[in-house]
Amino acid sequence: MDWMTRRKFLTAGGLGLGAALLVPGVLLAGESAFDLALEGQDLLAAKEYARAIEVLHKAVSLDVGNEWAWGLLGRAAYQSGDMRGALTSFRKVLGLNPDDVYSRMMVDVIQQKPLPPREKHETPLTPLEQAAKKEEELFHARISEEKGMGYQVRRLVLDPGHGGFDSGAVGLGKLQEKDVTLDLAKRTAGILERQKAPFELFMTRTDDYYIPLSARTTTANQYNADLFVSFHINANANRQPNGLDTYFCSEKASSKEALRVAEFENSVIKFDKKELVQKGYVNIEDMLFRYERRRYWEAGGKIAGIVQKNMAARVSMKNRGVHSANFYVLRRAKMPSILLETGFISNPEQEALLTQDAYRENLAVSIAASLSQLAGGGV
Amino acid sequence: MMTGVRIMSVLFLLMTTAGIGYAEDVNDLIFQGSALSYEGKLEAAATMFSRAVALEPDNEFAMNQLGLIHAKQEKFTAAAREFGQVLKLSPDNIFARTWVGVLLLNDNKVEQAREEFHKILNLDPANANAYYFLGVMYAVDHNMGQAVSYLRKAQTVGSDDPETHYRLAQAFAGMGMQINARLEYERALDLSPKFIKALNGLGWLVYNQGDADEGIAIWQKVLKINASDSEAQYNLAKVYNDKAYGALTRGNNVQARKWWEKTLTYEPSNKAAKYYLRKLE
Repeated sequence: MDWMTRRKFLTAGGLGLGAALLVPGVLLAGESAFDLALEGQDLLAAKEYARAIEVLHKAVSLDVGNEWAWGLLGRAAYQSGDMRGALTSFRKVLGLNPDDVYSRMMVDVIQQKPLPPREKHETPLTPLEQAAKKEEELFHARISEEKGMGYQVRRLVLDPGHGGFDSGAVGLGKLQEKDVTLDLAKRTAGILERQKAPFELFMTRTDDYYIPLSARTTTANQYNADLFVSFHINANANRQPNGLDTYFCSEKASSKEALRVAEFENSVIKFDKKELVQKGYVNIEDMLFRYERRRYWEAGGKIAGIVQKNMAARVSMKNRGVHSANFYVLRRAKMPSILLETGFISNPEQEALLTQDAYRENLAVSIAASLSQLAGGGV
Repeated sequence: MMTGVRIMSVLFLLMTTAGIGYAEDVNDLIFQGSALSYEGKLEAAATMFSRAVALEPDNEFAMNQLGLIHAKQEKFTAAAREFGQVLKLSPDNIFARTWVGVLLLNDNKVEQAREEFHKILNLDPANANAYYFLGVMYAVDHNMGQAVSYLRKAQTVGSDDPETHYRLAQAFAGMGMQINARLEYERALDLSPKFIKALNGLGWLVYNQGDADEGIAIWQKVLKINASDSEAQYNLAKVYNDKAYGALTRGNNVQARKWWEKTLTYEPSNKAAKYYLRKLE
């Protein structure tokens, strides 16, 4: 209903015609909602707001779906200074007719300034509400000491890259990326479990099978994880490059090399066109979503720094540093996410190292130590 | 006609009391601007509000609406200027102050945003929006204890909107508190039955509790509301892919094939489904 139509509607109501026809049956009662609303409108015009409110309350209790009476009640409440009551009534109108411009505008007008608190109406709890209350009491007791700032990590998803028919990169000695990533992720999980680290752990795969990229982040979202760690081994057409890298997600690649790695890891999928954000008007939730994503990327960057530092300190490989790029596997995660490139399988020396149990264990220990460092404190 | 005049006078009276104008044409401009803004005709609405501000330079409501329109158009500097102007005139204008906080968040000035929301709570201890944004900030940091405290407070003081319940549900789900998570998802959906984010979250909650069929039914409902919702599509593709792989490992190739075909209906490029379907031919 546009603003002109709204006026026409109100005019019809004032003359006592159209609205009566719109609400058949209401006139059958001795004191109908329509009669009461009409009386309320007259009292409102006569500035007898308290009486108008009384009469209009009766009208809406007789006919809870009477948009016109709710609107009048909103005005009467507003005029009497009852902003909370006015807000409730105008919202009621919007519930019945979301296109009512006047009520929507009045809701906006009222919400410009502080409002008195809403009156509490105690209602008996449903069985689900009772159970929820008990659960929440236990929760408050459990987290009473958690008041720290910064990003908190409790639930981890470890993602061994590739798997099944997708071997990932393969070394000259036939070592396959998928096998090393699975072994490293399992070792890391095992260490964290043995250390009784305060994490809930989830893995995207526990055996040699293929998981589509979309399903990997979906798993992280499925468990409302706080951190997603994807394990990979780097490769290059040139046999020389070697060393450790850690990546996190960002809009733009931090270097040409980061872009190359992202393109390689993304190559198993074609970007979904739906990923492209349509240019249009933003709302608060869109802005919060962007803030959320930036915050996750920022926390991902810090966590990547911690892991990279620990890995480089513990294993004898070149520290290639932390980079950022737009990895599909990281982008869809609703949490910070990092991608580890734990050496170059294309480099024969590093391939040999990656086949060694002791070397893998060392890597896993350094990764587990980094993750343990995140427990309890904000990033 | 008489009634029409009376309605206008009521409108005039209300706006005067609200402190948003005294000239009838200003009220008309504001009303028309509001109508255009709600219809999404932002440029035309901005013209109306600009004219209202030109006629009445201290009209807070019109300035706030201009700020809001600029923010929606991603003209954040212009938006901040309008809201800042309102706050100079009226430091207790919580609408403008809330938007200043949101714009600070948008600018990644997290601590300043937090301060702004706390200032609102000093002015208006029952301000649901300020509690909501503080709750969201903690939720984004996955500091679920604080998130729950602030979001609950938002609810207690009057925020009964689906987003608050959804954020609470997510916080509870992240803490493994399935009963509260379910209750809050349901509350969000009672208020907004087609709230897709809540449906997607509820789907995983019931699925993780072992009710795969209900989870699937919920995501299918999402796709009835919006056939191109990629999250529901990926959720369904993942679930059917897992089911198919499970069937394959049990030796039930016929069932595996069915599930992978189903997977492809939700994610036509699913590489696992394509590979195994070829292999099972």
